[in-house]
Amino acid sequence: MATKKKSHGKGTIDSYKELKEDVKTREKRTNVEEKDDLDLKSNAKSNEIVKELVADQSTTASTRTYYSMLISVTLLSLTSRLYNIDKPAHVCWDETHFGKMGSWYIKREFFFDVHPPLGKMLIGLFGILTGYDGGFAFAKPGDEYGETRYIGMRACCAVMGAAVVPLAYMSVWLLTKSLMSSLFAALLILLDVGTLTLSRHILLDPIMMFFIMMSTYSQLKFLSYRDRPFSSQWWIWLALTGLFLASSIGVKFVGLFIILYVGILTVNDLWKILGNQTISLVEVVKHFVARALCLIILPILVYIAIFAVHLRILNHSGNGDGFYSSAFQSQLIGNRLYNVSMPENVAFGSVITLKQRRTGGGYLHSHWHLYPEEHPPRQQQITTYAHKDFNNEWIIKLADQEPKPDDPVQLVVSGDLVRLEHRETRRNLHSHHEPAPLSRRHFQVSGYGVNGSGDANDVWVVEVVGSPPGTVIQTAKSRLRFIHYHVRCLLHSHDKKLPKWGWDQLEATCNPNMREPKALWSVEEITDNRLPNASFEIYSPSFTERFTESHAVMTQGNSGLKPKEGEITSRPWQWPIDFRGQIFSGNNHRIYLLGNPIIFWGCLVAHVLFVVYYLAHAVKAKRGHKENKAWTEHKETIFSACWWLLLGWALHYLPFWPMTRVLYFHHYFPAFLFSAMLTGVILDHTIILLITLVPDSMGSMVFHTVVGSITSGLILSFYLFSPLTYGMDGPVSHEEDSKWAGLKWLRSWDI
Amino acid sequence: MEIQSTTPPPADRQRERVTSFHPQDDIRRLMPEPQRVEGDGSPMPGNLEERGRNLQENDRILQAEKPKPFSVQFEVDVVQFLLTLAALGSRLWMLGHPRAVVFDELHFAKFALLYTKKIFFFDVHPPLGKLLLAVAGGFSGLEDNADFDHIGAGYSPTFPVYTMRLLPAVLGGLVVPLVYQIVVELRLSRWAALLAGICVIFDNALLVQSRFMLMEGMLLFFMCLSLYSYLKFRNLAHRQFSVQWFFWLSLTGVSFTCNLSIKYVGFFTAALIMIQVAKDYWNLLGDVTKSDLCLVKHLFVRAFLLLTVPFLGYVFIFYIHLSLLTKAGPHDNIMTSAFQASLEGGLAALTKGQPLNVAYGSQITLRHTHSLSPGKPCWLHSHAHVYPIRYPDGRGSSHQQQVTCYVFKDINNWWIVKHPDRNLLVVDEPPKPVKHGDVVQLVHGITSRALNSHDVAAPLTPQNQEVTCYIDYNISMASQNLWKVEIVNRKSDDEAWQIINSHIRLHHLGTGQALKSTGKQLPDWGFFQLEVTTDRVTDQPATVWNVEEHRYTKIQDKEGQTRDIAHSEMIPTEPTRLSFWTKFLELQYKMFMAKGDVEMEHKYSSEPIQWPFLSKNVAYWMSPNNNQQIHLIGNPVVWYSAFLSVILYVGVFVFYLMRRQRACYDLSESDWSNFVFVGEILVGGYLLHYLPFFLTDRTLFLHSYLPCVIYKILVMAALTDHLYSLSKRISYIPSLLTIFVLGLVTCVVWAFYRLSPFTYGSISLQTEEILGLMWRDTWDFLIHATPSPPPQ
Repeated sequence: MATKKKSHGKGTIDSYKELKEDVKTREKRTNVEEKDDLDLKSNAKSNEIVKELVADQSTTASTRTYYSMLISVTLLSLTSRLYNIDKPAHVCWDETHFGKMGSWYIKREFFFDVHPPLGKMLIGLFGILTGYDGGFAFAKPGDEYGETRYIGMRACCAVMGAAVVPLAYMSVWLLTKSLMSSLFAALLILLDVGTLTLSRHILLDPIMMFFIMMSTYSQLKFLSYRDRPFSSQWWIWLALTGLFLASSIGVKFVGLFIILYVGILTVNDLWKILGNQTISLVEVVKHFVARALCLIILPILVYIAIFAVHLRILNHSGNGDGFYSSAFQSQLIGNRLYNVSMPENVAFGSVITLKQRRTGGGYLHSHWHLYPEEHPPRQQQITTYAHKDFNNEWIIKLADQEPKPDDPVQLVVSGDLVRLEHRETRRNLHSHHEPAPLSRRHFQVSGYGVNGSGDANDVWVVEVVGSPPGTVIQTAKSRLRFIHYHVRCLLHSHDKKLPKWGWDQLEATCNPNMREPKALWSVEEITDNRLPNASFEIYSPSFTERFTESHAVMTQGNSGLKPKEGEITSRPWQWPIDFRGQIFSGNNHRIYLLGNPIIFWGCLVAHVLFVVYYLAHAVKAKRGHKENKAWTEHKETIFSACWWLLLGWALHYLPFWPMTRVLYFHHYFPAFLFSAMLTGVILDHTIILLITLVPDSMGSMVFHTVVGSITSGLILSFYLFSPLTYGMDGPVSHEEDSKWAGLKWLRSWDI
Repeated sequence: MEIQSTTPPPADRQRERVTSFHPQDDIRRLMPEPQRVEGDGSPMPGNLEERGRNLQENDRILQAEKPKPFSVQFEVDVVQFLLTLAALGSRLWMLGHPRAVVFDELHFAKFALLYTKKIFFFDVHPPLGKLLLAVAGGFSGLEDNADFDHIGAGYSPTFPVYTMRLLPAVLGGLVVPLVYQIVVELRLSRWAALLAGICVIFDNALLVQSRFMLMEGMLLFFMCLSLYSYLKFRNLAHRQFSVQWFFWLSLTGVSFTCNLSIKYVGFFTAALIMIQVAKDYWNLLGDVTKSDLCLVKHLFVRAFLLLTVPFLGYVFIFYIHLSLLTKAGPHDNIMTSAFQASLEGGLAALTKGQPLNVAYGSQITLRHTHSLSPGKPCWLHSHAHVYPIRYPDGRGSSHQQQVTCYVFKDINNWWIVKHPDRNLLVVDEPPKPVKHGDVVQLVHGITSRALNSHDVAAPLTPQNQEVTCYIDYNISMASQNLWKVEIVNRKSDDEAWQIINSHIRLHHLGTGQALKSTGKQLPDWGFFQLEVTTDRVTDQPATVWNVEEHRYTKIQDKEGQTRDIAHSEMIPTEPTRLSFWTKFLELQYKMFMAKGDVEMEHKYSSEPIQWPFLSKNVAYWMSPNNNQQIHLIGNPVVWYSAFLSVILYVGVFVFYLMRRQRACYDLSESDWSNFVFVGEILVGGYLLHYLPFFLTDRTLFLHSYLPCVIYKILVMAALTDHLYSLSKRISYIPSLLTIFVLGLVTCVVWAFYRLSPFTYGSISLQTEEILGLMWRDTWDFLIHATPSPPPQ
């Protein structure tokens, strides 16, 4: 550390001095413009300085400083991320999910998750590479790993997390060409305990942060080849950007923000190219096509490829089947619908299951329980249920007569009046003018009657949507509507969950809005030995269909992640101020995800400072203040870098505000990376400002004091808060004899 | 037609460029358009050609005359005048029909009535619109015998239906001249202004919405007024600090305050204007001829008239609102006890004469201050029943006495504050008040058991602790019944606990958790009362309580105390008074919090994405006897063409921008900057009023889109004007464009005419006719049901 600081100090203090002298001389020049001799002198001097600056940048010494710092930052990052990686030897927080999903990939069992598959596939891959066999259950946080080989997975995630630091360093360098800024940015991320904690576990976040930073870096790198368009490096970095964009969104949908970010950078770049009169329009079109190829087509292909791999690996039936349509399920080995054959049409007397045709729609279901007293009348509950169950089976009958065993087989056609009898309880599907339990504007649907005989309110009209009356109903294919004959309402179900008395199943209602587009059903399974079986070609969806369906189900799942009642949810305003963290692990090795408060609050200050600097600069410029050229150029570089970083931060942070799904603190960290980089640049700029303010003789001293105190402050805060990551024991902080009480700076922290 | 609209003689053209802008010039430029308009629908007969000729003559005379020092020059824009008449005519025709409650009149007429009765009510929208309605009603003898129970119910014969609808209708009618003037102030031609005016007049949705006691008529008026006065102000930039300049600037501020005091959606117009003012000011900064002091003065004046004055105005409107509504009413329960007690009647009648400070030995009822669902307050409650030993999910309970939050006043809501170290329950002489930070026990008045909490999971919220009244079963679990009082809204740290005003939090000593009502209903064993727990997260609204009723315990024995609950000697004290600011802030808090609780499903609710395509209508009223009905439905021709214009305008803008980037300057610099400014104001206004709706969770109706309709009609006018000025570069195109616009206007009027039975509700259409008017199959008009044949 010490050596690094020294070498760096030498490297930059000189350039500071130069810049500062440059500034002073130019100021003098403007002040005493009449004195020609001085003007000449300073002119000569500044020319010299410019030469020196140019020379300095290309010297090997400077490159050496750059690389030595890069290497030391990387090493430090790796050390901090991998230190004691095996502790705690139990499942922490969401490791229970992602570890489990990694195992499922290894076991090739189908499952459902709201995130796209790449992150979990990588975890599975890490597992295989490091000898994990997928056998551990990851049942709940706190489970001991025992003999399981989990360290490999953690280490791989940690390495990806560690790469974020040098990437930030290189990105800021590309933006500002200032070693100091880059180093500060890297330090801020390196020493933030929150990022550290998040990087050390089997989670999607380190992977996500890695891909986000990688996309940013390759885009900036690509832009740095601006003057050598269509060269091989240019192509490589452009294609890499596209590749990493696809990877980002392949891990989590928040990858969309980085795509937006790169998109805006690209549009801005293209806009400049368009404005460049030396480039012909044909060239401009070529530029555009190249970007469209690499940043739109390529990512889409890669993204689809990820899903292709995902669907190919997971070809066994698992616990995610019920979320998907019948057709989808028929592709999974071990599923009841796999390689199935059943009657193609429905006849009166057939036993059928009905599934609602919408993503996440369940089977029409009933059971031996009545609606509770507060939702009268107390008839048997009808719900929809996502899982397969014998209680989903219904017998379809003519409205006005009981089937006899020797009846001729009569197929059900669109427009028929039918009754649906629940096979287990022998009650009929029934509705009436009573409000449904949750949707008070809909009507209650209940099971009514004894042994299949009910009343006139059991009559439903079955319709095949989009076909004329008289069309034969086809299993799985036909889209059916069930219209209650008397009330004129549609059998319907939506996402509202019944409370405990309804076993958390979904409410089924009769919807008086006859235009409801989602009140569609299809016959999924049918048992009728009077009808000939047909092998079901329709049950084999193409890849495109499976791809689209996975997305529909994921979107639904994502928006369904509403906070449960009484659950403490984190709100976006709490994140930048480090209001409350997340408990990763309990017991006697406690881990608490919390940003380093010094760094988080410092970042906030930096944001404000940036706005102040920029406003001051802009107002001055607008009012016609002239400043010397070098200084203006320096400011322009700084401010444009800051604007881009601020945009990155805003894009990764602000969209969370209007989101209604359940949010967690760790959603902030991608935004934090940009915030930290911005802070690095602003710190550097502030120091330059300070040096220009103090007299020459004190410049070097001020520089060393400020840099030294900032660095040591950061290290000290890291040292203080590192136990949050590396594990705490003993009593919790609000108890009196806790050794962590001193860390509880805010009442809301549960250290 | 073509002959009339071909280019005017060269001499005329020359003059057009040289002389200042007169409306008459334009009338000459394009003749036949207004004829169609006046011929249709508008009550004014008139031969425009003739008028045009007259105007020309006037014009010549005016120009021929030399300036006379003592005369007043008076200029009337006849077209604008006629438009205004037509607008008022269409808005006022058959205004009293139907004499029944139409759609949201159900609420707004009721609110107006409550103003006259001075009864407090609660609404999520700010009060100005309702206040204005009440004023209109008050002038015409609004009486308090009206009774509204459902949409379609008839008004009583004395109810001033006509006058109360008159105000929104007149203001809604005045939108038309304002729109006309806005187009003029945007420096577009008067033909464009005429087009915009016609579209506003003949849009069925704007018409319906301003004909009844609804908010949008007034809202749109103030919206257009603020936009208009801002443009006026901007065009006076060369006469800074003149009287007119000040007048229009203050009118801008005042009118957008009125706008957002009717509905919060008005905020977006205010934002639009603020952004533009900020931009103008930024450009002003670049003017180096102005001194810094002058710039500061500019900034100060703008900040004062556009920030301070509107803020004060907004507060003032609430001040009137709150000082008018002084009596307790049906919505009291939404507000806190303190608020309720400050109203006449209601809670005040109960709590008047209570001792102010809670002391050791006080008998109190504790109300949950911020009830989770509005209108459902609850009080801390206990009764001689215990928690079930085991819950259905297998968890056990402590089997001690239940503590709940009960939504009715009940004898079991009484608690006695006890000093932990003493056994007496009687109040000392003098009473020893409880202060912030003191530790107390709360003894349930009827069962004499103390409020207790312990490390047992609560019945419905397992992450919280159970709260009980402690029963000593002589087993290991000791009582933990000490509570520390925190006064949340204290001013100093040794403040005494007051009834009603003090918001308190009870921290359980030992675990540090706070007493909370979760708002969840317990099952049958808990008599469907609400669950009470303690929560680790103390700092949340659900943990705040306040004392509502209060008396001192005087009698020592148990029976005596119970008897005492009925008869108690009261110490007379002052009635509760809340400062205006306290009430104002509370009302604001409740208004913003209540937003999420609007009912989620409605047959006629719609999604923002459906609005531009007009895929849903809203049924407003249906006659009980025949097929007369009123619907909110836009004029499809206007809506579609205007929406298309918005897209085209953006398209044209992007096209120019790209051309400019390649250094091809198609427009002169001043034309270009005006084109950009018009786009910023109109397209920007459209998007500002439209996009935010995608983020709201509430049930939305089509009428939220109406401000956007005004903006997009303006965009259409601007686009037409721009295309026309472009097309002058190529011969024949202007006349083609004119014909096209004429055709469009014809279609507008035709569509208006076809849909007008649903606008005025005056004609009972036949079933086939109604079916014929369902131009889109998603539209839903009503047909009086013919009895369906009985099944089977």
